Amino acid sequence: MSNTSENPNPSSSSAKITLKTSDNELFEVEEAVAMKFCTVKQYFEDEKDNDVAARGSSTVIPLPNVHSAVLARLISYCKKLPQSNAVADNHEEEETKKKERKQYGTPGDLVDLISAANYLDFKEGLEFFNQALADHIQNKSVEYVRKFFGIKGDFEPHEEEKYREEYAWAFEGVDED
Amino acid sequence: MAIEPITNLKRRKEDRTWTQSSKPSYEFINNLSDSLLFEILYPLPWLSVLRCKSVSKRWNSLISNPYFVKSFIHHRRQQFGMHYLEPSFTLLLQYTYDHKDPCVTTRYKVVRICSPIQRNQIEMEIFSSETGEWCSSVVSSPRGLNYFNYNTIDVGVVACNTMLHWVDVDERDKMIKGFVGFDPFNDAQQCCYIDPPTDLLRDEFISLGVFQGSLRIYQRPWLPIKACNFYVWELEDYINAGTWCLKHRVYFKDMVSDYPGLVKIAKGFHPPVDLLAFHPNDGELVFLQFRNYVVLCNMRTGVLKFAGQLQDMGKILLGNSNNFVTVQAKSAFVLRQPLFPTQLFPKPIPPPLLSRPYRSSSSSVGFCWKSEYRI
Repeated sequence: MSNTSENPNPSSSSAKITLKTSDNELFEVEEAVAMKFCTVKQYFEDEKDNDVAARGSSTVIPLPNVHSAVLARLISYCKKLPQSNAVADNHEEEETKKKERKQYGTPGDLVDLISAANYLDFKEGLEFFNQALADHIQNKSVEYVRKFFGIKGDFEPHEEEKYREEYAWAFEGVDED
Repeated sequence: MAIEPITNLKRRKEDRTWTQSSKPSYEFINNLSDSLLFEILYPLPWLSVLRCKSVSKRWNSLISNPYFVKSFIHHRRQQFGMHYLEPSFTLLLQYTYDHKDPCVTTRYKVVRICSPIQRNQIEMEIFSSETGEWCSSVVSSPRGLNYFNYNTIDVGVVACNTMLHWVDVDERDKMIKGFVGFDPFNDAQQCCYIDPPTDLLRDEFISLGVFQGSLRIYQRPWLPIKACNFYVWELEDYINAGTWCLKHRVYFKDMVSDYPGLVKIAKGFHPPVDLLAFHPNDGELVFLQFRNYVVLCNMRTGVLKFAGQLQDMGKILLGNSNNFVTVQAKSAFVLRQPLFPTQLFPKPIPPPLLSRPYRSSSSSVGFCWKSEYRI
């Protein structure tokens, strides 16, 4: 996918693309990284077709739905991508991955990252951050999940009772909050 | 190395600082679209997902959405691979009865068949009531076998002559390649392979059934141009490798009945007819499911008789609860027949349900449970 051959400047190792976030920050990223975001890739290719991108890095791609803080995180995640996804073979490996996923902040941060990854059509990132969020609520009680997301239970007490009875066995062996 | 926007040096604003987001997380989660919330739920273990049904009304309705359930399973398969997630596709229970009290099971085997990982062998886990233990064994096959796929699971396992039989379907083109037979009692080292009838439509769905110790195939072609009839083959001369013999070819247009409703279904476009069971004593009779009716069909004369009705389109009430479980009444067994072996759930099912269905065997017809994930 690299277009280094078209790059007029041989000293630069790869082409750069400039992304502009919702808060008007500019990010200059390597093409290889930017191309992981399918939305950017699509935009870039359309531009190329229109022959506008012939001047390479001069194109600025606007990302009106992504905040700079979020984009910075996504880019840094992209850079260490290779060892990330794939299902872990053993318990130890899984623990390391969990730790790695934990670094990506609070639930609010993760939800931001998920929204952004979704907007950018960045599949690996979406899976990774979804898993990171899932780690937080996996095997937790309903009360914990509500508190975690700040959701108010809107069931009538008897309705809730009914669900709990119906799935009583699903409520056994829940981790401590 | 922190990644910073190149404009950072020039500007100083009330930039929101990372991880000290002032908004509480619910604002984000409540603003997410349904499809994105689905994405968040996919990686969770399904017990967690079930619990999440009682988080709120919105979550409850999302998790109950059939689209979510389908995608959830699909996601799992993609992530872990079909054979990793579902190494076994069915459990079989083998009974023998105590002579004094026919309701007491005295001896049985439970066989768990794992999807073949290596072409020429299958891993089995067999529980024997006599030893009270599970044993793993590797069974070799005279032919290369395919991974189980949807069609294998749909046809299920049928017991006949103390042998268990299931269908081998090509992984790539989904054509029926043949049938695998396995005897958990006498020859637990090797399975046998039976070629399909030469005139079988190998790209169409089939059902397996049994008539007096002979294996039978029922095929009702799905393609509308071929769907005007159904076929029944029987495996003869089983011991000497076997020969398939086309026993019946029945046209829906020739069917007659005192019940005009049944004829109407039979003569309608693409009649919704499935095999339930072959009659235990008369080779010309077959129990079919016409929508939610159980129909006794004479395959020679085409006469249809009304034999019963399934409640609520094949949904069956379990125990005293109000839970309906979606059951495909796909194969039934007549209790007068030797009752072994009987199929159990082919897929994991919520623990409390496991113990209940067998109560249904006190009725005249017991059903084989093709469970679906119902969350």
